[in-house]
Amino acid sequence: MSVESIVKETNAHYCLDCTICTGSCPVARMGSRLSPRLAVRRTVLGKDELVTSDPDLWSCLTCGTCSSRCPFEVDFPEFVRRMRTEAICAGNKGVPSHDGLMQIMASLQSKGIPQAKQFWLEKGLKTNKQSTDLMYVGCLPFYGIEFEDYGLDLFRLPNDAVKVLNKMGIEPALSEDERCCGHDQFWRGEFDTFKRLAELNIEAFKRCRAERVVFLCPEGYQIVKEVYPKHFGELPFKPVHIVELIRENLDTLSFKEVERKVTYHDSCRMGRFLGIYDAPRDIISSIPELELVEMERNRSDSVCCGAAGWINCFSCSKKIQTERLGQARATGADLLVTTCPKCQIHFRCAMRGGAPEIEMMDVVSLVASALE
Amino acid sequence: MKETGKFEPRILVLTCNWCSYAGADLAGVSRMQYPTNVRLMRVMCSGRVTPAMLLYAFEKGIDGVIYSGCHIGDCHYISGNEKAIKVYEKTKRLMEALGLDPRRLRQEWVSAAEGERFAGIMTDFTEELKKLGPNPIGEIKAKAQ
Repeated sequence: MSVESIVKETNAHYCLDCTICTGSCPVARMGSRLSPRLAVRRTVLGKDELVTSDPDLWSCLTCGTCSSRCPFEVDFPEFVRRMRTEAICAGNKGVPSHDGLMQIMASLQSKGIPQAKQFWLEKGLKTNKQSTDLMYVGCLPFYGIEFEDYGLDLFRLPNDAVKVLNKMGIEPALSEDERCCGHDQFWRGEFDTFKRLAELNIEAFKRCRAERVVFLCPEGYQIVKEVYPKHFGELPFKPVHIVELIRENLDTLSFKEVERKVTYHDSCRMGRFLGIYDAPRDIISSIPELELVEMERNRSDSVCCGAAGWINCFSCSKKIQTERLGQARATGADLLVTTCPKCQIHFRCAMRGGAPEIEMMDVVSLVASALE
Repeated sequence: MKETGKFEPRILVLTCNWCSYAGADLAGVSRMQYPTNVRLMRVMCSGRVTPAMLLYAFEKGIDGVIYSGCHIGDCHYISGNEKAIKVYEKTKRLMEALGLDPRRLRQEWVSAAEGERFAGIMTDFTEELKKLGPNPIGEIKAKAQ
């Protein structure tokens, strides 16, 4: 019964077996046995236990390349997400990366104990508890600690974000009670943990009397903007991504010249899911002397960073990352700009394993470093 | 535990195969007394333990974890315990940010000859945890059941 509703609600029964999905899939292209076409086909034909028992169900990056090209708009990421819930019931689980640390940390956050996560804030930056603009940092402080020895300074992003917000005349509030957004739990089909985290977050935002919540991470933004209202009703605040906010207030910022050649990587959530392609490019182009060059695959054609949801990070992930970093290097740029801290983590991990090296920076950090 | 109404902490002790486990064994064969709150788990090397393993124990509601290996310079695998220091420090920072008291995690070096020291550490940590009280996660779990 539930598989039937998955088929109906994700348009899977419209599938005409054309294979554009499997042909577009970055994981399938790297030699994995994952095939969106076959998974949909098998389910439609009533052989869904072949899909729910398949370990490759967990290799899907939910990047949305397949459904963005599907002529009948079969929502494959949503299909995979709901099939994963069925798979968990059937005892088929993904292989967690980093020993399952992210899953455990999310579970710890979902218990609702008081946290001390805003330790990253540097002196001289202005925040205001009474402000109706709340800046949401999510898992960033935890990732900052975990990935410090990867040579990544993830604490720089929230600090730069506060710096830029201050420059635009906004003194954001920070909340110790905000939790992980539940994005990864949602896409892994673990709806219960996701629900607990979401309820705690909505509660925390309400308590801060936030009217606007500023996100630094596209995953958090997408999930709160598009998924929270679907399951928990209308939100009492307006979610906004910092890139959109900077784009709106570009005239209040003045930049110095930065003589560099940069390229921009569209993350899946920012690009294909939310359709925000121009805001980050406008920001980059508004910095004088900064040259933006496009990669071979850009905008809605962009390739995923190769790992999602902290599961099934395997040889295909590394191949995807190596290829993508190669494309970035081929542009002749010496800086790869992203809007997603997780893309940076995954790319850095690949560089440690021998993928082409290139300096990486978040758009927000680029703006902060170019401020006059 | 419930009958007496007194809080008895549950402690997980991760010991390395070559030094600390033998140290615990020596405490045992020497018939030294130490609190029964302790549960031992043997790993091949303290360097094998990851932040995920330590946090998993807390997520399951354990009140304290001791993470023990060979003295620095004595590691059977040369530098496993040096790696363990990094893991320990990282986990402490994560615990603090996540709202768990970092005093619930302790790292100790116990050699195979230090049975008495092992028993002493266990007694001391049990006393400290009794003062700290139960792990909030464990309490939430108990309420939910």
